[in-house]
Amino acid sequence: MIASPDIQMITALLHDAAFKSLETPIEIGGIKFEIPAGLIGGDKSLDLVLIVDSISEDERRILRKIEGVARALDVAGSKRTLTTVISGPRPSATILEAMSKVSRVLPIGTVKAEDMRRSLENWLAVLLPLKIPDASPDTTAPAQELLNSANDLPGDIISLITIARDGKDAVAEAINDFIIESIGTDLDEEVFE
Amino acid sequence: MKPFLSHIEIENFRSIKGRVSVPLDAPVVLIHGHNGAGKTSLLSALELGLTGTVESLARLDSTFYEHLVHKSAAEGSVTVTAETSGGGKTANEVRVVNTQIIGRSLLTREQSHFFSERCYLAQSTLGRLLEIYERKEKKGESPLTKFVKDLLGLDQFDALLEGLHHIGDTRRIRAAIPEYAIIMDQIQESQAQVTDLQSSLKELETSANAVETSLNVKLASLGIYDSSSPEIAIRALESTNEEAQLQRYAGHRREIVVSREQLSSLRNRVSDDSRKRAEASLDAANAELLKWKLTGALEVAAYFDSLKALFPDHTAPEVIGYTEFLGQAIQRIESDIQRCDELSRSQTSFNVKLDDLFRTLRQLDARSFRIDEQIAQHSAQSSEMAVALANLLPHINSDNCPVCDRDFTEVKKGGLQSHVNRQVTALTKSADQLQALMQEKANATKSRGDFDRERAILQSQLISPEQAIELKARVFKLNTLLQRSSSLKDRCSEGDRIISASSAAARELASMRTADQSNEVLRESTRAIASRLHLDIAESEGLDSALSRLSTVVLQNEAVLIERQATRKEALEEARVLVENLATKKRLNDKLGAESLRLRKLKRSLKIADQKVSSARKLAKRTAAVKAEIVRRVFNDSLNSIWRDLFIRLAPDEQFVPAFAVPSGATRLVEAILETNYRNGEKGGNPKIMLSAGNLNTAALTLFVALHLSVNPEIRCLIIDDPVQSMDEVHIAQFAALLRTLSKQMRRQIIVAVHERALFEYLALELSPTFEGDKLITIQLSRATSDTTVAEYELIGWRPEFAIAAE
Repeated sequence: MIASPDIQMITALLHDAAFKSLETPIEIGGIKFEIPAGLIGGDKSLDLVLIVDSISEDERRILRKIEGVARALDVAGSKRTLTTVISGPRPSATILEAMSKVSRVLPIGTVKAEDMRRSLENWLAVLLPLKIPDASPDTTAPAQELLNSANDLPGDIISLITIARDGKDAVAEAINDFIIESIGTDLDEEVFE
Repeated sequence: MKPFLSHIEIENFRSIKGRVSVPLDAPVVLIHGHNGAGKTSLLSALELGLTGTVESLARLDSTFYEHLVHKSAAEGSVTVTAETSGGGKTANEVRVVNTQIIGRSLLTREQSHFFSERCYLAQSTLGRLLEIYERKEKKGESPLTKFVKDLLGLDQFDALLEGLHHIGDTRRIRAAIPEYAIIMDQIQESQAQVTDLQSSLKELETSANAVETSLNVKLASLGIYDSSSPEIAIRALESTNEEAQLQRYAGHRREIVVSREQLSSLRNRVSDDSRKRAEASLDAANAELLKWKLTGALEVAAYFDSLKALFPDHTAPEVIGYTEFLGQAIQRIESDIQRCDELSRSQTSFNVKLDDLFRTLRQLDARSFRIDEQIAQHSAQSSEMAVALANLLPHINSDNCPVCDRDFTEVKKGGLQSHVNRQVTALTKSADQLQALMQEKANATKSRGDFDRERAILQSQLISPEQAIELKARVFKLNTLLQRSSSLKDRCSEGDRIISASSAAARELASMRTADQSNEVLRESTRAIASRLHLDIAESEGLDSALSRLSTVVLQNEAVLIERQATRKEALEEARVLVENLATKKRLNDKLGAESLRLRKLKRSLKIADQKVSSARKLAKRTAAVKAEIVRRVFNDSLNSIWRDLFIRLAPDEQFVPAFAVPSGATRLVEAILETNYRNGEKGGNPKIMLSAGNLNTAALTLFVALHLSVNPEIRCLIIDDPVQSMDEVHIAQFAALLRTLSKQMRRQIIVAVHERALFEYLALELSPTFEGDKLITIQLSRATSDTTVAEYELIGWRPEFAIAAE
């Protein structure tokens, strides 16, 4: 079977993610299956990815094939997970549901040419590694960060940061006390008569 | 990768009855149990053992600690073994006794916060994540804001900002801290006082200068040149005065005035003609006087002699004047005549009265005699007798006499009783009468006594016959003399006239002589006055003009002295004012010194207080800045991109992708806004309206994972409690793949609890070990018949795959 251009694109994407193509027809547990393309995951992956085309094949047939593959895997005692990528128009809901019982289904659907690559990426994302940008380098606790930024201030003011754990009233009381204390120095009682 | 958690042992905690001990040291741990089997209890126990509290429950109910022990036991315990940052395993036990949690947490405070917020997705956490799309209620913060605050641990920041809010404005500080307001006000007051004192002192200085200038002028005019101090000036001013001199001049003035008066009175007298006349009249008067002495005077003298015979004490006519003398004499004679007549008349009436009295006395005596006779007739004892007889009466019952026993009728007729009665009556009557008679006698005696006394008085007033004769003779003499008096009237008045004329003439002449003398004397005294004034009187100068001239000089001098006196008085006043001024200045200076000191002290204190205020303000500013920075750092593009990535994985069909839009600028409180972005970049609305319920769940779930992944992992662990409750199968499959990626690629330990068997098995498949050394632990929770919790676990290792031919 000739892989359609879509299928080629899909395969290419998966190759980028360390998937390896299998020879067709795919043989599982001694049974051969006619499927347009199949790949298995890299070192840390037990994925088996099958790519089918709903244009070139009737959806019910596709379903039977997929079910067959699944059964073959079970018989062989395999721990592999099965993923089916359906290029072309999306099959009916019943078929999809039935297929979902034995396989992960990624019905890519028909997209416009210019959206093709992005749409593929979105669908296949689940198979592709996560691209995580660098996590924030800072893991200091917020309070510590504040302490660092305030370490030029007088000690009693800095202590307010810790006091803030007890709530805003504790903070207000503390700063008021500091201020009252500093007013109280150097003064005689009589000043406040 | 070494898994973070190693082991957990639980006893009687929440719904777990009995003891459960299971390993957790695999990259993936799957827990299965029906609802109520204890899945959540196990995960809560894990949280308790790691963090020392159960934040996931506290979010739902603040009294969660009351329900931590299984109802059948008195206490429960949890022991968690985990990898600590020091390398190596640590086991930490936390016990719950009644409602008390006893034991420390295994993690640090920051780690615990990270765990509860970003590692453990409990049911309550999921619920909270779903709420964040809710709008803000009127009061309080929106769930999103609260979520952000809890996540970032910013409560402390907000407490700091709110607690320091009043520091930002002086008015608010004053309102919150009365002492601050007081000291500010006091500084103001003190400052005002200092300013006042300073200006007062300035005024004093100015006025003192003015007074000093004026004083110096006066002092100069008074000839005082040492005025180094007001006290010295006062002493100098007081040391002399013009009093004495003024008095002398006053004296001179008086003398001059007197002299002038004397001069004018003298003018009226001295002339020769008048002197001759005076002498002549004196001669005439003397002649007449002589004549009188030989005639009229003798007559009067004779009369006086007669008068003296009758009134030896009468005053002589020369003493009181003849007319006066005569008047008095006549008066005396007339009154004496009256007296004598009266005396005579009275004698006659006295005699008549006396005769009457003698007669009356004789009558009284006769009466007394008769009374005595009558008395004698009555016996004194009659009354006693009457009483005795009366007492006897009752004993008389017959005519037999009780005394002698004889029959009374033999003696008399009529019965004894009636006889005795009659006797008693007669005796009684006799007694009565006697009494009356005694009274009469007493009266008579008294009357006699009165009359007798009257007689004696009258008798004493009688004069003897010799005396009567004498009286008559006197009356005769008096009448004679009286007749002579009237004829003397003219003589007396003549005598008086002559005598007074004579003495008047003599007096006049005498005064003329005196006047001459006075004139000389006056001239002398005037010269004396002049010399006292250091002046002279020429011989030819008239007294009048001399006196005038002297008077002018005196007045002039007086005027000068008076002016000097006034100047002296004013100068003294001014000097005293200066002294007072100096005293006031000193007083004010002292006060100024004290107040200035006080002001300095107050200002210093306020300065210190203000330093605190300024530092506090800095702190507030920094707090806001750090807070905003933290918020921005977390809710940044990187979080959004992770979230997007994850969301798309799970909901590849969804057109709208949720994201955070953090408003720029450091606002006081955190307000993150949720929006959705269309896949092509357009903005949609709040996710709540843009996403379906299932996708909202997915959004919540993926947000949690994104938050976990967007920071450096303090704890490489993700624990998820039954997350797929409302996910459809498509999502579940994607979710499983995501978990796999998190485990294999992101190297997080994954612990998932589910209640559905099929899902559990699917996940077990999806998360199977994929390489040598990889491991999976499955835990089955159930209940035994005694309700005890049973935990069966299985460790699954890696097996190589041979299913596919090409392998």
